[in-house]
Amino acid sequence: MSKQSSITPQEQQKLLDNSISIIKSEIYQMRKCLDNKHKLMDALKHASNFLNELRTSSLNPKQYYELYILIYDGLNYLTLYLKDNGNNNNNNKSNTNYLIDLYELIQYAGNIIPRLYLMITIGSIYLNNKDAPINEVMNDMLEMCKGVQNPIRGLFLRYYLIQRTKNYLINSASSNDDKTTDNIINFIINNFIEMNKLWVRLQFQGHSSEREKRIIERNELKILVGSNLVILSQLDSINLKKYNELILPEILKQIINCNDSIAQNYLLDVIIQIFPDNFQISSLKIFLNSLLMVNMNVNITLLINSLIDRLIHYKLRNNDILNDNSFLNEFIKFIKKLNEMNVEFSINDYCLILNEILKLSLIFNNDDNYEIINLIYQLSIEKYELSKDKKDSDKFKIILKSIKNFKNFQDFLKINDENYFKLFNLQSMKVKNEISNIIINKIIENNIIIENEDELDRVFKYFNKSILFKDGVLSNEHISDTKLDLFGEINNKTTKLSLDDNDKSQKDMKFKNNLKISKFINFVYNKDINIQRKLLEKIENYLSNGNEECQIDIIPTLIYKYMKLLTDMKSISNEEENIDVKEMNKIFNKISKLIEIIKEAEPIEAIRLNLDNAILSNSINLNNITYEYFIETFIIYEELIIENKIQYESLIIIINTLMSMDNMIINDIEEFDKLILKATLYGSRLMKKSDQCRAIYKSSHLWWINKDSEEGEGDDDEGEEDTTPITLKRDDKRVLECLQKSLRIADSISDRNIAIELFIEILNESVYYFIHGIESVSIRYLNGLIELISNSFKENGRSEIQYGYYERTLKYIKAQRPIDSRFFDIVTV
Amino acid sequence: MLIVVLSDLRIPTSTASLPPQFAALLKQKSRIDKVLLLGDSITELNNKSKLILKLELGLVNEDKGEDGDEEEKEEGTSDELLDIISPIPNSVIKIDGLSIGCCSSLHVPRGDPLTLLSISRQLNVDILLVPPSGPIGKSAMGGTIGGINGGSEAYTLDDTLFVCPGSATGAFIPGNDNNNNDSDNKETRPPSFCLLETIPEGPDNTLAQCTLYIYTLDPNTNQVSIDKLSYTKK
Repeated sequence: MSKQSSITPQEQQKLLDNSISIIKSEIYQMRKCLDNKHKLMDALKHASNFLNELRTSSLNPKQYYELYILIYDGLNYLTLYLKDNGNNNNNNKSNTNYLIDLYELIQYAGNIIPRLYLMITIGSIYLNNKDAPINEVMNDMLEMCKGVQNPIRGLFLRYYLIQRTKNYLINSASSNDDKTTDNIINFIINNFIEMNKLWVRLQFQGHSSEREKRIIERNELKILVGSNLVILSQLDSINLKKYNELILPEILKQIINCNDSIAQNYLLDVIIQIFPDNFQISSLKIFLNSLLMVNMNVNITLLINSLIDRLIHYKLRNNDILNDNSFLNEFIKFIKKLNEMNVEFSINDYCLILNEILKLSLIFNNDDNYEIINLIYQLSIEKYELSKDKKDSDKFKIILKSIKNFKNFQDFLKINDENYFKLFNLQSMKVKNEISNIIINKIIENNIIIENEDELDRVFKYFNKSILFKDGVLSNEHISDTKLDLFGEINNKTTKLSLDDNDKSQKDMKFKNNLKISKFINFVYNKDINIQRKLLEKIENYLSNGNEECQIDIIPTLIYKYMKLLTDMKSISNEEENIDVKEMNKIFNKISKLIEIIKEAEPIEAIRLNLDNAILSNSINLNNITYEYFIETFIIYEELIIENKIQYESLIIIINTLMSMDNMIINDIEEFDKLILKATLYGSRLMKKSDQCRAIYKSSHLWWINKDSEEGEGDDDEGEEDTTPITLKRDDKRVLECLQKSLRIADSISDRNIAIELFIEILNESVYYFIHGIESVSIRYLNGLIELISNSFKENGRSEIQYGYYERTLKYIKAQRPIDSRFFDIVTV
Repeated sequence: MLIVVLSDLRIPTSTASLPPQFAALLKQKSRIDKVLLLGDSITELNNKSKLILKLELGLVNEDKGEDGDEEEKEEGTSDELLDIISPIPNSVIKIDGLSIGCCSSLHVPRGDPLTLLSISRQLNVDILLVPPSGPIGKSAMGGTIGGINGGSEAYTLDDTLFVCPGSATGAFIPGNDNNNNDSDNKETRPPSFCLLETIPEGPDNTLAQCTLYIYTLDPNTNQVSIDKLSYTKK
């Protein structure tokens, strides 16, 4: 062996080439002798010659394997010849004798390597003979192989033994003879043990500086050792009992005792991969116990992963067969023991293993499953408590995330989550938020409707500690993020920048989290309005204990849910012809209080919510409530809307909303008139004149309000003509006043282009009223407007946009003439 | 060009998300050139709606933490491939020789074609996109579709194509009587959106034209039906 290290790769290659050519030529010679039949002795001589090449110690395992392959082919030829020869004899007895003679003869070969290869070649043919003393031959071969103790040569020799006898072993073991089977099993295990010893010993050959090289070589050779186990797994007659009592304990004993991590890693994985699924389950206890005894640097996590993966696939393929989940307890026991024996066991790996067990548990539907799951969460907490480093908590995230694997996520709302929740609470805010997001995503994905208080409480328990949590969450993490400069002082420049960035992304994050909760609220629903009301009140209560941003972002959604509830209450009371005004009032009050909370931060949103509630209360005919919502809207408009543009836009939606207050107009016109006067007044107080002008001509519609007739809908192909609207309010004089006032404002604008555009808008508005037959908007009035516009164009020139608008308006007026003869009187020159 | 027109999402206040059938259609980013999200009644609120739509279409990463799951990472990798526009009210977009006007519910208080005509004159457009009108919650264009207010609608009047894409989520509208058809938690108007395919003027003097597809989801059968309408610029 020491020689090997002193030769160069080039020299090695040369030796290999040389050996190959010798082997090829000797095989050729051997075949020639055999084909001439009578020269068996010469053939054996040649065989012995090529086998001599396997005596080398100068080649690496790969090169040695090349030689082995060639030789295996050569010996195959010899085997076939010997078999044929035996058959030709036709006489069993003489065939036996002939093989015995040969077997004896071979013993005289000079060198041990050729001798043993030839012995195995002949012995394995002999085994197929019924009269042969099979046990003796087998034992003899095993014993003889002990003569080769060089690892590489020994491994290949024993590999040859197992390859040659493979067919015999597999065939005989399938006969029902128990004793034969046991013998065969023992034979293979024995060979396995010896091979493993050789393989492990290879590690300690040569100089210690070549350790890495040895590891590579050993990995190249591992399949030879594993082949024994593969053949064991191919024996049909092995049953669970034999596997558990005879095979596995023996193999495991060797694997553990050899105390070598490469062997342990590889061979344990081979066991997981090759033996059947049900064997794995029934032997779980023994197997897991061995895992506890392996070397420190064996990757237990990886082994457990591949074992559990295998079991998961087994369960998925055979859902009906595998119903008993009691084996899961073995995993629990295992992880407990692992923790006891090795307190320092890496938290990461520990979590990975627990997560695998969780995954496996979750594919079972058994009732007791959730106890096991709960237990796993408990184990996680125990492990965490052992850890001194608080930062470790994040490593448990993977376990918390396992709820993703719930077969039926609804179960998450039912299980005992005491331990899960404890574990959740140990996490950083970031992880908690992430988990809450997962919970919501799962509910949305599976369209799970939360319909009782227990389920709602369950989910909000998590939200309260995460997304809703009061008292900034992030302030601590902020500080740890700031960088200290060389002198341990906070570097102001960079810190400030990164803080701003942080702030933005945190705001973003908060918005997204709150959006998630809002989405979630859409999944809270119970048909029973009383229960639904309780559910919403609960949410309200939870939000009121939450942080401010959450309240602002989420309350609008809650309000819409209350509004939906009111709508449902209304439709029920329509059926029962009994409106529970008192209860509805209470809910509207709640809504008002909620709007109050957000109005400072979100005045626009608050206006919109107030107006939507005005629409709702109007539809229920609760006019005093409608009135209050408008007053509240006006207060916000006056106090909180500052920007011109938003003032204008808000005012327009106020006007639009007022126009739809049919019930209020019918039943409470006095209050309504107060509101519209106020709205019109706001219009005249807007900052920009163009805004004033538009707001006022739009207000004109507040004095002329129609409602679509409820009965006469029918087919409305032609839209406006079929429906006969009911006039709710009509004050022609006021309409004209508004138009006139807006015209005056437009005229006072010094930018004539803007003024002209507004004139045309007012013209269009007037045409609208004219079509609808408002008497105060007369032909004379329209003609006056047209004259005003065309004069203005003469004075100021025709700006393209405005003139196009004007022309299109005139074209429209002309087009009305065939329908409505009054249009002939409008002068459109 | 293919332009998707959406309006009246009401996410998250009235519903949690776009119908999955629509989301799947809209996520075929490579085929769609533009998405128009018709404006809210108050311009200020538009950015928020736009962000929410982006999240819905997976155009923005939904921060999953640094080791987020792979399936979720797939989406949202290439944001901004899709051009989402939330046009300001009464703005005009010119595409393939067609002028398309976008109004917000702010400007169409009355479900009333006369008002729409007036706006189309003012903007001088060939096509006018109209959201379902805000506070009243009726179809902005005056009609009712299948007895349900606030649905999609399209017609040609005075050489102008008027299109209301309806609500992409079909979400609850307060005060709309049709909300109570069903006391189940179901939405009461069918979700719908529009797709405009514009074709520019041809070399052989063919006029600029546009085909309108209205996608409507039947909430009972979960099937998407498509109605088609062709328009040629006059």
